[in-house]
Amino acid sequence: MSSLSYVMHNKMARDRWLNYLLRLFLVILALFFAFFPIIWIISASFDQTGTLNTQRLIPRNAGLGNYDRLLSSDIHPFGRWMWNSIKVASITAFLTVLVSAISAYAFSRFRFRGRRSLMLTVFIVQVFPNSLTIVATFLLIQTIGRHVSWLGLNTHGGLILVYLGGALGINTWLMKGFFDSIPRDLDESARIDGASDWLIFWRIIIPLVRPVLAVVGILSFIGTYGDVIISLTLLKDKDVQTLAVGLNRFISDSFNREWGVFSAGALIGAIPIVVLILSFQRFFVSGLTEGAVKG
Amino acid sequence: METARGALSRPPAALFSSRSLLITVLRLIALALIDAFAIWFVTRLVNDGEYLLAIFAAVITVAINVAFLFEGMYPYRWFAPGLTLLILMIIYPTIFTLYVAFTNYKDGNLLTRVQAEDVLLSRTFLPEDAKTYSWTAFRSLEDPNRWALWLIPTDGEGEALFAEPGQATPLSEIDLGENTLDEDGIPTGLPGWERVPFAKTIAILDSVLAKTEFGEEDEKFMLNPKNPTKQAGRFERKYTLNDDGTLYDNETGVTYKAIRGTYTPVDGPYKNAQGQVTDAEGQPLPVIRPGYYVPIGLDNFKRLIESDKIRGPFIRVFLWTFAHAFFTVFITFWFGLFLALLLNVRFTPGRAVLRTLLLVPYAMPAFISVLVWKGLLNEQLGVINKFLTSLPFIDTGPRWTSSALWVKVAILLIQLWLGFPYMMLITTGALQSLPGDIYEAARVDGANAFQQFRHLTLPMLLVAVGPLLIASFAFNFNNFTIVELFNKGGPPISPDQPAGHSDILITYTYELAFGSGRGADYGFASTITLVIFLIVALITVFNFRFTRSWEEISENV
Repeated sequence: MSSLSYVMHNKMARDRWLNYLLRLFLVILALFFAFFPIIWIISASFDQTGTLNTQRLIPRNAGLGNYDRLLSSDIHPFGRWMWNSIKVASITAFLTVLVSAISAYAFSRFRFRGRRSLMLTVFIVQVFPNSLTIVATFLLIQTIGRHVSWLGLNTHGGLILVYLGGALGINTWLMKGFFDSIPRDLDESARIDGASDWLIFWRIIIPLVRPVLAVVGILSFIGTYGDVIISLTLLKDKDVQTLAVGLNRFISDSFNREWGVFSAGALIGAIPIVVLILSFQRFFVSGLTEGAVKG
Repeated sequence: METARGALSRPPAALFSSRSLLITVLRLIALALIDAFAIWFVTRLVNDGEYLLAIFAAVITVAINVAFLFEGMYPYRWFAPGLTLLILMIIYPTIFTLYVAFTNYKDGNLLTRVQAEDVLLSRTFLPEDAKTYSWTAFRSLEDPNRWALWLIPTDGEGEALFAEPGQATPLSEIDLGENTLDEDGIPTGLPGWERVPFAKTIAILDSVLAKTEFGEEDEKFMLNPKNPTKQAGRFERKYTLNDDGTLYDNETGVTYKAIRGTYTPVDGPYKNAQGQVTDAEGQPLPVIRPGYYVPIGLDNFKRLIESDKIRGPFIRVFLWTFAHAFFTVFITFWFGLFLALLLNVRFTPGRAVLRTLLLVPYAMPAFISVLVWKGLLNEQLGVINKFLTSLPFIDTGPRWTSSALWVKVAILLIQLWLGFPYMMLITTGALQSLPGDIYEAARVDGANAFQQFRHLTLPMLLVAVGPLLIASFAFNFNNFTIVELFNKGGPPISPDQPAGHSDILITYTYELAFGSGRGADYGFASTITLVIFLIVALITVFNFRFTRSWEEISENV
C-alpha cells in the first residue's frame, strides 16, 4: 500500500466519521425533541410534592406517592378507566376480527351476483367513518337506548356497537387478499370429505390465516383504545368512561395540583400501546406503506 | 386407513341428514328470535315516531330473512352480521344526517311529533272547581316504594276512593279483609297495604308523594300543590289535541298551533293591541315546550351563507381546517424526510436503535400525548414558558391557549411531534426502494448531491408516498382528538359564537351539537357535517385520480 493511498484512505475514513458525528448530532437533537415531554412526565410522576408549577427535571422528593394516589382515588377512578378501555377495545377487536373474517371468507371463496358492487361499496363506505356523523350516531344510540337500555348512551354496549359499524371495511379487504393466497385445493379436498363451508372456514382457513387475524385485531385494538370523539360523546358517567375521556376530564378539573398524578396515569395508559406498536414495528412499516393510517 | 374411515362414516347419510336437519331447525329458531325482536323493536320505533330508523330496521330484518330462507341467497348469509352493522351504524347515520340538516332539530324541538304530543297530552292541572279530597297514605307491603292514597271527598259528596298508581277503586268495591273503617272513615289497613301515619309521610311528601300520579290515565289524583299536606285533588288533562292538530289548553282556554314544530299561541280569551295572545294581566304568552322537529328546507344552509354572525367565524374555521391539515402534512413530511435521509446513509452505527427510539412519539396514544403537551404548554405554569421567560430577553412566553395565532402554532408543534415518526417511517421505506443505478448515471453526468435530491429522489419519493400524504391530509382534516383535547377549539372568535380560533370543522360541529352553555343545534351541526362529507369525498376522488388506485382496487375485486 503506497503512502498516498494510505493517506487517502485515512482521510476518507475520517470524513466518514465526521459526517456520521454531524448526522448523529442532528439526530440527537431530534431525539431530544422526541423524548423531552416523555422524560418530563416520567420525572413528574415520581416527584411526590411537585405541581405543574414547581416541578423540576430531577425530582426533589422522589417516590411512588403519585402512583399510589392514582390507583386509590375515588374522584378519578383510574383503574376503572383503564379496565373500561381495555375491555371495550378487546371486545371490539375480537368481534371486528370475527365479523370481518366471515365476510372476507365469503368474498374470497364464493362467486355470486352483486359480489363486485358489494366489495366496492364496502370500500367506499369506509372512507366516511362514523366519527364524521357523530351527531346522527349520538341520536341513533339515544333512540336505541330508549328501547334496549344496555345499548344506549352511557353504556359500553352502545359504544362497542358504534365501533363495530366499522368492522366491515379496509380490514375485510386486507383479510380477503390474505384468504385468496390460501390454495383452494385445501377447501376442495375437505369438501369431498363432506365438510360444510362453515367447517372449512372454521377448521381449515382460520388456523392458516392467524397472522392476518392478529394484525387486524391489534389495529382495531389500538384504534379503539385511542378513540376520543365517540367515547367522549357517548359516555357521561365517570365510572363507565374510558381512559381517553377520563384522563381528559381529570386533567381539565385539576391541572396544576394533580400534575404528578396525571403524569403517572399518562405513563401507565401509554405503555400497553407503545409496547404493542414497537414490538409489531415491522408490520407497521409494511402495513403503513400499504395505506393504513393510524388513528 | 381407507377402510377405517369408511367404517366410521358408514351411517353418514343418516347422520348427515339428521345433522343438517338439526342445523336447519336451529337456524329457523334463531331467525324466529331475530324476527320477534325486530317486530317488537320496529313497533316501538313506529309508536315513537322514529319512522326512518323503523324503515331501516324493517328492511334489514327482511333482508336477513331472505338470505336465510332462500338457498339462492346463500352467500349473503355470510355478510349478515357485517352488513347489518354497516347499514345500521354507518349508512343510516349518513342518511339521517342528510335529513337532519334540513330540519330544525335543536333544543326546544328535540322530539318527534308523536313524542312531543305524548309528553304534552300527559300533562295535567288542577281546575279551580276541582273536587278535592283529604288523603291518607298507604304503603305496599310487597314494594316499599309503592304508595297509594285513601281519598275522602272534602265536600262529603260521593264515595271515598282508594287510589294507587294506575288504578282507583271506590269504597264499595273494596275488600277490607279483616280491617275496619275508623271513625274518620279510613281503613285501619288493607290486604297487601299498611296504613302510614301522617307524621311518617312528611319526609317523603315532596320527593315522592307530591310527584306521584294516582289513579287512572284520564282521572288522576295528585296532592294539591297549594295545600299538599291536607288536600289531594282530581286533576284534569291540561291539553286536548284537536283534529286539525292544534292544542287546546283546558286551563286557560288558549289554542296553540304548531308552527315549525313549536306550539305557539294563536287564539285565546285575551289579546293585546298587536294581536298577540296574552294572559289575564296582558303579558304575551310563551310557546309550549317541548316541540318537535320538522323539515325547514334550506334554512340551515341559508343561515350559514347569509348570517354575518355565523358566516365570518365559519369561513375562518373552514380555512384553518385546510391550513391545519396542509401544514401538518407539510412540516411532518419534511422533518420526517430529513431524519430519514440522515439515517439512510449506509455508514450509520446504531441506525436501527436510533430509528426505533424516534418512533416512540408515534407509538404513544395521541390523546395522552396531547394532554401531556397541554401541560407543557400551559401559559403560566408550563415548563416551556417558564424556560422561555427565564431567558434574559423574553418577558412573557407565548400565549399558547389564549392567542388566536399562538394556539395554531401550538397545535402544529404538537402535530409535528406526533407525526414526524410516521413520515420518517414511510419515507425510509420509499428511499430504500429507489433504484440505485440512476444515481450512478446522474453522478456521471455531473449532478451534485442537491441536484440529485431535487431532481431524482424527491420526484420519485413523492410518487411513492403521494397517496399516503393525501390520506394523512384527509385524516388530519378531521383530527378531532388533537384540536378538541388541546384547547377545545378555543379561544372563542367572538363571545356569542361557538366557533373558536383553533376549531376545525369537526370540532365546530361537535361544539354546535354538544357544547355546554349553548343549546344543542343538531340540525345546523348536521349541515356542517354535510360540508365535511363533501370535502372528504372530493379528497378521496382526487386521491383515486391522482394515484389511479381505483383501477387497481377494481381489478383486485
